[in-house]
Amino acid sequence: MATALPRDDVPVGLGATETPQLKFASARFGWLGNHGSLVFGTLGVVLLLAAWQICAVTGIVDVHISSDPSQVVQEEITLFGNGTIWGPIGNTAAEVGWALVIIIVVGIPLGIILGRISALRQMTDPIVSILNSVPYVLFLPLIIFWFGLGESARVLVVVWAGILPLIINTTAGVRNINVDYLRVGRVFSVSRPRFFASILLPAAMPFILTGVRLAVARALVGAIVVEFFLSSNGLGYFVQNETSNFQMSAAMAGITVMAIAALLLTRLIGVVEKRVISWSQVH
Amino acid sequence: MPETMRAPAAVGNPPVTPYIEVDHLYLGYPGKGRGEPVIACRDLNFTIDHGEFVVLVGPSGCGKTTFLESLAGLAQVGAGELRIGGKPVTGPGRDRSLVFQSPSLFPWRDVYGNVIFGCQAQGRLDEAAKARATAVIEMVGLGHVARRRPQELSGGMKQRVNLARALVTEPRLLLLDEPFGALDAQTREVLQDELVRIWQESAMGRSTTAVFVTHDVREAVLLADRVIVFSKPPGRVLEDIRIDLPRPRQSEVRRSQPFTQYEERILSTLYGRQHQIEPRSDATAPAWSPENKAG
Repeated sequence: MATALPRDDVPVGLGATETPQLKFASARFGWLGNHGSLVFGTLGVVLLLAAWQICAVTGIVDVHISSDPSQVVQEEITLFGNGTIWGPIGNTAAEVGWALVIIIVVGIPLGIILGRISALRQMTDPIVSILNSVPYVLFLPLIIFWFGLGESARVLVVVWAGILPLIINTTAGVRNINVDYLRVGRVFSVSRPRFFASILLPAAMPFILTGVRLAVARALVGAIVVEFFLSSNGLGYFVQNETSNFQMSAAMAGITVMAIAALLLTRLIGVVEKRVISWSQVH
Repeated sequence: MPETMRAPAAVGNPPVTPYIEVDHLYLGYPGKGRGEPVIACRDLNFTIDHGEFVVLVGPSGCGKTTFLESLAGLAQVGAGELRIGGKPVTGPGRDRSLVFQSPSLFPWRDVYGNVIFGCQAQGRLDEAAKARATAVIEMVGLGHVARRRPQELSGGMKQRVNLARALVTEPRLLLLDEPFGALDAQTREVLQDELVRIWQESAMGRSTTAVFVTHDVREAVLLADRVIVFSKPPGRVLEDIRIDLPRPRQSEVRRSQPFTQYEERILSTLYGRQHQIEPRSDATAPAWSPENKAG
């Protein structure tokens, strides 16, 4: 075979000298510039909690109504200590987990099909946008009437809440695929299954993961709403129950658990995005 | 659509027939709505032999890219016939590969991943293909960035990947669609020299036929065994010039006198020596009429 070329990225200039020690200040804040979002984000939360604590201690707000961070922490310790919180957490986690599995397994293929078959998309377009824009809460009484109060009815509502942004995003991703990619596929006579796996899916992946991100957020809201309405367990029910019993610290503790779970899920998607679509310039 | 009435090549006879046969070929696009179809090329008639490096030059919009796409199987034949190896072109095939005008690399694959795509797509990514990919990446001078993603590369490097991807499938027909058109002048010359070198050095030059499209006349003369000059749109063949510059050619051939003469000749065909553009093309062109409706 032919010989390798001289590398054209290594210039040999006149009177080349050794490279001096290069000093480029990375950002205005140095280390802080790179970790700013984490540092300042934490700072923001700490400040808010401090303000809350101060307001409660100085009596600006009534502790019995608002609770305060130290009481929430104590309550958290009690709840996890005697295990009463695990039941509600498990219930909500099961609902959201099953719903997300269904959302992903159904939503992505459905979005791809709608993206590839334009007749089908045009047929379902109005329905999808109606379902997406009319608050699903409106359908709750009907769903209770049709499916009862059981576990499956609750999962159904969560799926309903979360699946539409994923379908819409996946469809958009498939439709927005770069024409060049399609031409490369055609020229090299790519088979249909390989086209889906090697071109269509990776090309649409940034859109799909944004859809998953939205779906997770909406599914969490859906799970809490459905527990407010038709449940006797789960974190939503727990918070509602504690609030109506005037147990503000316990209610706040439940909310805190939910908040942390939401944060972790979002982070998880961030990690997946970083690994899977690091090539995309969205980041 | 295609008339399969051509006699097959005689058995035991090595390919006497030309590799590519272009026979009263009309290319174009369906019109918007109820409009007339748009004609890109009209009444093309020529043949290309095995192992030839043919360059098509012509003004922009003259249908040279459309012709290349029809060879690749991406554009429809409106009327007439287009045969490769005696068979009418009905779609893309494993015997051909295309170097695109824009790099068209997959950003989620590294250089190596992009280069092996062709073989992978055709389900023949074996050890030999992998070794070939590594060798070709080395040959186009990208060995040191084989694991980089396209977005980390310069425009010239991306076009090298684009070229490598087309070479790895070992096509019998290599199609190149203005691959250096979007590069800066310096990079363009470097890549032209390299393509010449690869064509002459590797075994490819003997087993492969190449059709290269460009609007750069100097590029055409440097690369070609034969230059086919297209007219203003809709494209017809104005002239078919054999370039008898000896091979192997070096970069310096650009400054030789025969080179300049070929260049002058092609330019005058394209633009007319005393700006006589119209009479020349009208004299040979039959009045354009009814055939286009047939397609």
